[in-house]
Amino acid sequence: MNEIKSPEESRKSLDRIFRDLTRSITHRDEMSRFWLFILVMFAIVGVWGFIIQIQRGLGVTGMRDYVSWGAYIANFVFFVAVSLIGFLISSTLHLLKIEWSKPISRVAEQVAIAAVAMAGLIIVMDMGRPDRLQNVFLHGRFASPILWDLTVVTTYLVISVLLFYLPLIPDLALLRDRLTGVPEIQKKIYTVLALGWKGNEEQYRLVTHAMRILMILIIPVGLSIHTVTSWLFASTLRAGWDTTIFGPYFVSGAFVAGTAAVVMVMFVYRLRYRLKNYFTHHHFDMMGKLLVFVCLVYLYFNINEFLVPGYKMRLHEGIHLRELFAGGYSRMFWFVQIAGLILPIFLLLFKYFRRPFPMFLISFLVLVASWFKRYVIVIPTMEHPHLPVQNVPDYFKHYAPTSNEIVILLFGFVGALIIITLLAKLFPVISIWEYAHQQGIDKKYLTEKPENQ
Amino acid sequence: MEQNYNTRRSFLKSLGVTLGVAGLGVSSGVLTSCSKVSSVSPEGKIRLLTPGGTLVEVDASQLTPAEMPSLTDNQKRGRLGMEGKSWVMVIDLSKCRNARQCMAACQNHHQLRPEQHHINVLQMQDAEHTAPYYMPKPCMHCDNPPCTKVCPVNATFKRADGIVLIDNERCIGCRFCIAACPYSARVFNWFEPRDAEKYEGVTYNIEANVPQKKGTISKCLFSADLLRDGKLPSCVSACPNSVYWFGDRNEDAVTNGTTKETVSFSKLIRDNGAYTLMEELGTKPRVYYLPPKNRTFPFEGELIEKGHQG
Amino acid sequence: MRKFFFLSAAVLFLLPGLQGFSQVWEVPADQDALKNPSAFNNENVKAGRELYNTHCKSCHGDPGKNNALPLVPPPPDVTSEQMLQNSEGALFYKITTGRVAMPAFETTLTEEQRWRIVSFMKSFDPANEGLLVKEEPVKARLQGAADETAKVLTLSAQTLNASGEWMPLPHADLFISAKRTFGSLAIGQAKTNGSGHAEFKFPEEFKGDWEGLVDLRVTLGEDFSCDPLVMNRLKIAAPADTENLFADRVLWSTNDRTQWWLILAYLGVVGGVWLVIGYVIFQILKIYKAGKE
Repeated sequence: MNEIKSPEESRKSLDRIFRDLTRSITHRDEMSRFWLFILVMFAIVGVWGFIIQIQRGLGVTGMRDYVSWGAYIANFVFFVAVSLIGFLISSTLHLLKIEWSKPISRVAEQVAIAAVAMAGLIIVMDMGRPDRLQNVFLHGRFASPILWDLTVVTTYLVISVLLFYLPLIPDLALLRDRLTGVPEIQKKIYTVLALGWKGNEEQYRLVTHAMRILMILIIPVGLSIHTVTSWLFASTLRAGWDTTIFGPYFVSGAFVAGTAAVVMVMFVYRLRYRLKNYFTHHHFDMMGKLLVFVCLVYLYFNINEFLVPGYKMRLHEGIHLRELFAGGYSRMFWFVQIAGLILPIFLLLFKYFRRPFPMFLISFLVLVASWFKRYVIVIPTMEHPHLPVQNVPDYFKHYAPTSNEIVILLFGFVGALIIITLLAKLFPVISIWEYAHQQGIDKKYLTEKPENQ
Repeated sequence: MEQNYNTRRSFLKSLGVTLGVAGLGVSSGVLTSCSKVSSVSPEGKIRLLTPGGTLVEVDASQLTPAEMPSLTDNQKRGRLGMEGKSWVMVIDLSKCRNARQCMAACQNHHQLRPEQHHINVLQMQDAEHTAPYYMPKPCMHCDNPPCTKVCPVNATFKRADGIVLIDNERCIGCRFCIAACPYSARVFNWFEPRDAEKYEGVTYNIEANVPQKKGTISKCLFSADLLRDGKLPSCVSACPNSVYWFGDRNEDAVTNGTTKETVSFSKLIRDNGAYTLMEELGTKPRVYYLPPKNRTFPFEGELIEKGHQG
Repeated sequence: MRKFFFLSAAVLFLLPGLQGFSQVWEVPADQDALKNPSAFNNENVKAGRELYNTHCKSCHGDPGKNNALPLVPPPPDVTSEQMLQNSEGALFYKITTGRVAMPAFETTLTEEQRWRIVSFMKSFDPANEGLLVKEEPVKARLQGAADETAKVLTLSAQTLNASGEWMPLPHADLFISAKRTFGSLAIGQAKTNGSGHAEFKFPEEFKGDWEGLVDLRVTLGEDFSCDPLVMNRLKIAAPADTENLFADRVLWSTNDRTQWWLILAYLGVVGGVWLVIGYVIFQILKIYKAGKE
């Protein structure tokens, strides 16, 4: 924390901070309209694909009786994984009293909300009868991991939204009081959401208190969301899934994907909203180190996951591993391992690569590899059940997503990007009051009416 | 004497079923593949082909459409199962010659598409140099079923007589059960099922899982509807090679579908070294296999693939 | 489906078929001339029928019903012209050697057995009509009582003699079986003594229903025309150990039979988490309140 500033200085720098951090809201140009237009177009195509899928049946996908879980499930696992970063950055690092991560927490929460919301939607899109979703509530079986998954996804979404909202309240009051040049309706939204914030001691105490509780609560919930997702696979008897380390394996993998996603969003904000002084080289440097750390943990679990069964090569495990190491999935598998794990670890050891732009590129690679990692976890296992696959057409034996399926898959990404974009367009991407506080600006200046109004 | 008591009544009843079905414009489905209405003559006489294969002429007024219980009754009954029964199947691999009559009868009975198999005759080879053999593979109706464990809505369930059923009025199509089943015994209706428009409006029968529904699971159910009528499952009675034995483990008796011979279940599996499929998984199957030794038919044809695995 | 099956069968047998079969199945002259050494009588034909049912029916189908399997070349029905034009020796030769899809029975069946199948097949030859005299079965009746505590059946058999009187039937085989869901399960046999009486000790380990009740049926051999003796609901068998799949709370079962720990853990954890969330929402309301002061 910087030293206490004089009132004059405080007011000045608060104005500057406010201007910088609300640029995402006030800044409107052709580029952002075009971006939203593209996203909405893709989303419409995705919805159209989904309507076709409902009319004709899940058969419009590449899935069949043997590979009955395909890219949708891989996509679902990917989004659940990405969402986990919210809990790592905005809760764990906070509780560890790590200072540098504070400006990043809101980005992390944005990513978490977008990802977990899409994960919930994707799982509904994967159902054969989405019209019967209510059966899960009417006839839910406590013994089914799907019920646990549904419970934990909803819970995590609610906690993430609260964790996004609580530190936003003082900012909302700032927006309510100071923001100009936005539609009346938007102002009204800020007024309502600001809950009559006055910035008194009691209110700050309540926010901190509630935040603390949520930060602790999200740790077990966050861990269980991805652990339960891993149990969807680990609770079956199939080679490649039937392993005990799937819980921590998935959680550590999730941190890799999530960190990469947050770095990418950070980089875009930094560029688009001119936040060079807020998302600094230092932040990217630290995120780079974090990425190396989570990659190393993930590498450790990967070694466990493949070396132990690979050493024994039991019948079905052996077939599965051969397929991954040298068979039809070997290219994808080695791309995932090298581009998504080995390479980032190696490159990010050098400070040169921990600068914003190289970080952005590496994160992109990691994120792509993370998606294919989920694909490699889901599909090869399904292609090799215990008993031979016979008396079915050839296209039952090998899975490849159809165009209709890809359109719906893209909907997941587009939907997440729309949510992130809207959140950035509505709310500051860095907590203004916390940042101001960090800059040594006293809270009392926050509630002051700005002079120039 | 007591064996004869049911002939006339059940004969008429089965005709009734046929007529009832025929009235809906359905060729067959409730009965075996060969029963169908041949023609209706103007005098109100109806010529029918019985399941046994004989052509008979009956007065139309004598026939009543078969009673179908309402959907809820059917579901309730189907979920309870048949009291005191514990169904088991024994498959004699030494007799199987890949005639596939079981698969055909099953697909007919359960209105399945050609690529959907409740029972599938697989070419097996346990190790590189061992002899290949044919293995019919229905649902194992496990006593520790991995599929019902994972179902989120209790759409697939195990009932008191051991049969694992599916309620396609409740299934949400998440396909977790397919992932969980190590025997690949389950199929999914990826599109509109076979003859969907033909069976539109027909009351769902949970014990045969017909009519099939788009977006739901289907699986072998030991022809639970036939069992309720005291008949053997369709695959069992369709087999021309005496492969299948089916019966009640509580009674310790199984009956051969081809020869209709009834023997002691415990003696049959003891004397022939019976085993269950992948018992190491702890699923406790209800389908027993007799090993393919002293085979009636040698393995013929090309091996589809090398080794045991697909 | 039928088409699919036919195709696969065709593929299966086409390859060896191309090498090995011509339309005519040549039989060496000396083999063709062979005569059936076993007598053409009811007993041999009956034995032949049983052998046919076990070894031949699966491909050739039921006699006269033309329901043979659609193989290449097609297995003819035993009553068909094509089949019956074979001499006894030719039939024997073909059964022995086999060809294409038809297995050779040289090692599976003894010579005697093969000849009996020939006898059975020749019984459909119109030329042989009238050679087999249907024996009129003897009229008989059965009576019996059961001692449920001693687990003994007391049976007696009688036969109708020429003057229409019921006489004891000595040295006749009685077959005792139990009714099962899909057929009757043989329990054992008893032989009547000189005065037409027989005792049958019911086997200790034989299972009835859960109460030990069993429906029995006693029959005479095929040579007699006799209604079976039916004894229903005798409490003579050992009670079956009926298994109850729902005795324990298990994971694969419905919610009301799932383990307690699972339900409690689920509800406890979810309830706890949502209570805390509720508390946090309550704090948010308090923030609103604090702003009004």
